[in-house]
Amino acid sequence: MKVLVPLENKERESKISVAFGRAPFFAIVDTENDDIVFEKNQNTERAGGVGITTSQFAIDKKVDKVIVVNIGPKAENVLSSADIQIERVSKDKKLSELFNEKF
Amino acid sequence: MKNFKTIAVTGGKGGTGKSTFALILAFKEIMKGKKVLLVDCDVECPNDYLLLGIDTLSNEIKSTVAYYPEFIKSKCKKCGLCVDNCNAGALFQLPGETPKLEKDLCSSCGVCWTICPHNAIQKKSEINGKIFKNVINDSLTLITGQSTPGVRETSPVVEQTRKYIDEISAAFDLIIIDTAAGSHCTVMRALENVDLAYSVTEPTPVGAHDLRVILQVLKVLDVPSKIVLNKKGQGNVNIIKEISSKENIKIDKYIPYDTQLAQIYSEGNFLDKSEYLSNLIYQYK
Repeated sequence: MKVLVPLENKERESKISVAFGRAPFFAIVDTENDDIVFEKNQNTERAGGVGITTSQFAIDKKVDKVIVVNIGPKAENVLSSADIQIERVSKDKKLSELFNEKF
Repeated sequence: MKNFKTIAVTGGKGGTGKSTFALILAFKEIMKGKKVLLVDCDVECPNDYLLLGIDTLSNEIKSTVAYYPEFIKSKCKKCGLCVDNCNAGALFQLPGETPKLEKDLCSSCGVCWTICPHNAIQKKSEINGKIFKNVINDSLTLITGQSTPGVRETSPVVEQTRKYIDEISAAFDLIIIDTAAGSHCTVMRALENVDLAYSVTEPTPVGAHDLRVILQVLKVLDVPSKIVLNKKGQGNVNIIKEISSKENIKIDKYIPYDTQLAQIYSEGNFLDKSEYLSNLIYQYK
């Protein structure tokens, strides 16, 4: 399974970002082999529509699930129409903690 | 006043007295013998008509429209070019499917139907507002733009209201455009190509902050501007004076803090009290 996690920094010890569309970075984790690919969010400077463009990014990366703190209704709508699961976690979680608990 | 034909009344902060000043200015000019067209471009909640004693807007002249993309599935090759180029982020595409529109985000810019190499996107129009015309008397006519409740992108309503004004402006000596609060697209559309803009402000920190912002907008739009100080006698006038000298834009007029004005405003009978009101604008020295 491929999981997308919005992050504050480009590292395993980074906290999960409270924002989805405007998160500075993303981790795409392959839970089969624990591979992580870090990606810079190209949408942070956009005036609007970041929830949609970031969801499109998740679709294009063929992820099965996103783990978020918050997510807007438009992004939620796009992700669910693409059958991508949305899981919410509390803020201050680290990516490394998600590895222990979720992957 | 020099012979400006189109004057905008703006200011940034809400509640500084834009509509009040616009109406008083209209009365003043009418007393000099001018025929005035007042245009309410605060399309999300126009209220000049209320101040002129009209209960409900009814004399509709025309509707305004917004355009949205509509996909012709048989022609769409699912290339995703429209999605990649949608600056508003209003389009998305599921794998192997025709793109979909999130209408709330669409700004009607037209990039998608212009660049589609397969002519698979057609323009679909939808009514997003109305333009009303009220002839108040021989000297004053009110045009009101009003967006349909729930419409998020309202600047096309302002744009089309301005366009309608161009059609009828020849019959008037002066056009006064009352803008919305703020400094966003809707306000900018109302300010474009006017001969002069009055920025109405009040001597408060928020009034000063928003004045600074709107003066920047006017500079970018290359519109000559002057400051109007409302509620003089309250707050701290020095913060407005500082901006005036720093930006080199004159405080041209002022309205004193006046409880009777507030009373007249709350009763919505500006027309009956036009003589009293037109004496409330003073030259600032």
